[in-house]
Amino acid sequence: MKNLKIKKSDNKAEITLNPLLYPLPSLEKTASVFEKFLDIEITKAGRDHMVILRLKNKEDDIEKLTYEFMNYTFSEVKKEGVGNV
Amino acid sequence: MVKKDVKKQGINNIEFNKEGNFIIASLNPKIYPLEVIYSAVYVFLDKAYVIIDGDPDNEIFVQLKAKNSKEDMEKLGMEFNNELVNYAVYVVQAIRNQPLRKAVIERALLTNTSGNEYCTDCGCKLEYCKDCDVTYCPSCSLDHENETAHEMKEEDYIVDDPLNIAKPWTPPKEAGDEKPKNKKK
Repeated sequence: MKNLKIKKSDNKAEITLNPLLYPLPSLEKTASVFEKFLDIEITKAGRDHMVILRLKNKEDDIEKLTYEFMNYTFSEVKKEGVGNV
Repeated sequence: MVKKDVKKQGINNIEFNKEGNFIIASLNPKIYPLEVIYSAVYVFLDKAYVIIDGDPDNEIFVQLKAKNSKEDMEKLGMEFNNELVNYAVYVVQAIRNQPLRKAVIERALLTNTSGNEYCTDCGCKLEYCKDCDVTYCPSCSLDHENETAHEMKEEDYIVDDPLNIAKPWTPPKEAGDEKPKNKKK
């Protein structure tokens, strides 16, 4: 996907997210959970959110943590009631 | 009309990437609304890493990347499509049943706990007075707008009490508890 760039050499990942799909409160909740493992920066990129993740411990796997971050964010979005059936 | 290429090649909304061990599904939000897509994706959270992108008004892309490298991605993609249909049907049925569900809940909330819908005296169907929040018999309660019509009769206050539970209880006075009488000089 174009919205996800993982730079393993820099231990860094950049994610661009549409706020209609991933609202900011869900992102912030996820960020508070993952702040033990990642330095997280949330900024605006046009109408989208830009999330930059940096590893705190270089022994961790940035790719796996990024995907786990995305899954957790999605479950938060669902919990918030967006798209509840 | 179905397009010729669709007839020959079949409908293909999923791209498989064997090297990356992921699939990308492109979905039309007019066919599958966002709530349906979210519900279908939620089922796969245990099996796959999920990323959603696109525009909710035009086209939504869902990437499912297998957590386990041995996962059959083609099967996963097909299961995802089936899950989409499953939740789409659920939403359609929920919309159709909404008035019925509302009526059932309203009726359940309005019904008295006793469940008496007919008058025990005359057998008439009881009616509900919204103003007084009381069910009443239209023939026995002649004027239900009159507040006294719903008031309890004196007989209703008398309750059978075979165990004397309602009887007030006071401990017997012990010797020495009585007030000393004023001595006359």
